[in-house]
Amino acid sequence: MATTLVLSLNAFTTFKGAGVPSHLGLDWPWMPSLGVSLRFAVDGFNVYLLLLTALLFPAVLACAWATAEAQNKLYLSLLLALQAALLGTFLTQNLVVLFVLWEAVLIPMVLLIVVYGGPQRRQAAMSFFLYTMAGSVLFLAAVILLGLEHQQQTGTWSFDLAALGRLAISPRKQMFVFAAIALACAVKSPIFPFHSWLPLAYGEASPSGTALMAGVLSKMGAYGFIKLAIPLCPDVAPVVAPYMVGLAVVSILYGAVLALRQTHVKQLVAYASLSHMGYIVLGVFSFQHTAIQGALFQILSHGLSVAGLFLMLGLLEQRSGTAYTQTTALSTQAPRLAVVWMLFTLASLALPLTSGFTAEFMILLGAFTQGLQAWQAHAGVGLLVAALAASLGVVLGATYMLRLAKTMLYGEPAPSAKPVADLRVRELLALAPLLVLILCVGVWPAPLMSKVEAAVSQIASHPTSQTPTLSRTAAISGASHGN
Amino acid sequence: MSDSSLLASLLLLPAFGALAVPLLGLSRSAARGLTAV
Repeated sequence: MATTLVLSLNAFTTFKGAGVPSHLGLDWPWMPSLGVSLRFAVDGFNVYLLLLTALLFPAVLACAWATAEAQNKLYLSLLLALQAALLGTFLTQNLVVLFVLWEAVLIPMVLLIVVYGGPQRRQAAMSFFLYTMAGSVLFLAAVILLGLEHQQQTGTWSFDLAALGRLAISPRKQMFVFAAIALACAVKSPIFPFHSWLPLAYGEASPSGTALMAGVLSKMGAYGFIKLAIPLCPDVAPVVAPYMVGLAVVSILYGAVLALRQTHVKQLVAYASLSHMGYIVLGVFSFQHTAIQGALFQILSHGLSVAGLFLMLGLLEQRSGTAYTQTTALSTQAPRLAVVWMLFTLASLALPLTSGFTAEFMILLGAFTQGLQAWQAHAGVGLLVAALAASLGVVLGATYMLRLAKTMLYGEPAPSAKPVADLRVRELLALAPLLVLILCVGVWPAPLMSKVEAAVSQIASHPTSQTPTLSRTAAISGASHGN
Repeated sequence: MSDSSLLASLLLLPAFGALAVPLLGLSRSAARGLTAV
């Protein structure tokens, strides 16, 4: 994991922000007659995910080091398998390989839940597995349809993402492909109303499993929207965008309201995660340069902060057992732990100078800009209203996160409660890279921004993305009826 | 290190690691873990 981290940091710093595909890649033939090759490359869409995946796994292992599960080598093996599958999913440039690895991620993750989860772990794993598999059935059909389309149009098979993106696909087929990919991504993220697996899976998985699910696995869905759904369905995506924005806003507000109502700390962070994933979808489907860039930042920022919070809950569980949910007065008992918890909380509620602020500010700025332009062009007020409603989510987010921090950090410890030991050096070192990156992105995001600039421009500058208006909608639906 | 070997190592290291860890002596604990499900 340490070597993977070093290599990933090397790849991250080497990547200078070229467009798609990047110069930093490799290509091995796998099934040449079917156009399936092991082509992997770093590009503007996956460069943050590469960093996130490389950083989180060592942090998870270091935080779980003293637990019984970390002594079991099966645990290490599952972590490594999960990391390999995730890195492959994010870096591959071939649709078949992406689909295979997308599904392969499920195996180690489900085993991590089943072997190391809580009392209802089997039920949680089954619900997670069935939901994501059901979401992926149509995804496979879309993969086959796109390959067939390439074969019919060019005479050769190819599943290369760049080649598939150049195909002229009828709006009706695009609509099917978009729906199939969007369903798989919506379940994985998750966004409302595909989130039913979330409370049980996040609640029952071990702390490290939950940190990885919320920190990296959920980002597969967001990545799928940006990397697959929009480039492969360039005509349909802007037409469907208002509906996706609607779902995003419902996710933001619904997740926030549910988080406000939670008394269990793990469920609260889980629903907060649902709310924050909504911002990514809002940013992506605003089809505005700043908003999409913000969405990519949110992928990184949310991955760091939510994984940090779940890892901290795991550390509390190691100290207090199941009574960790009743933790109070951390600021006096364990000041280092309290400070780190507060830093992750502040990043999560998007306080300025943390990564959460950079990300959510850019998303909302982009959504407002695009919404205002649409309103001035008499193209509806939908996006403007959505941006306003999403802003309310920031306020709600601050409310539930600060209320949680107040409960956990202050007050009097319960008389029967065991004193909580402070963070050890190993634990501090495990969490430090996450905190450093949170502050770096918050204070000086420019170096990271330049890496995704070219890739974001490709989506944001798409001719249809600037005018998702009624006339465009009519043209698409007309063409669709004509088929 | 060239770009392609950098990416190849990045992808293959965890994959081989995941296979190597059980092969290098954890068969009993792995089996115990899996059968405990």
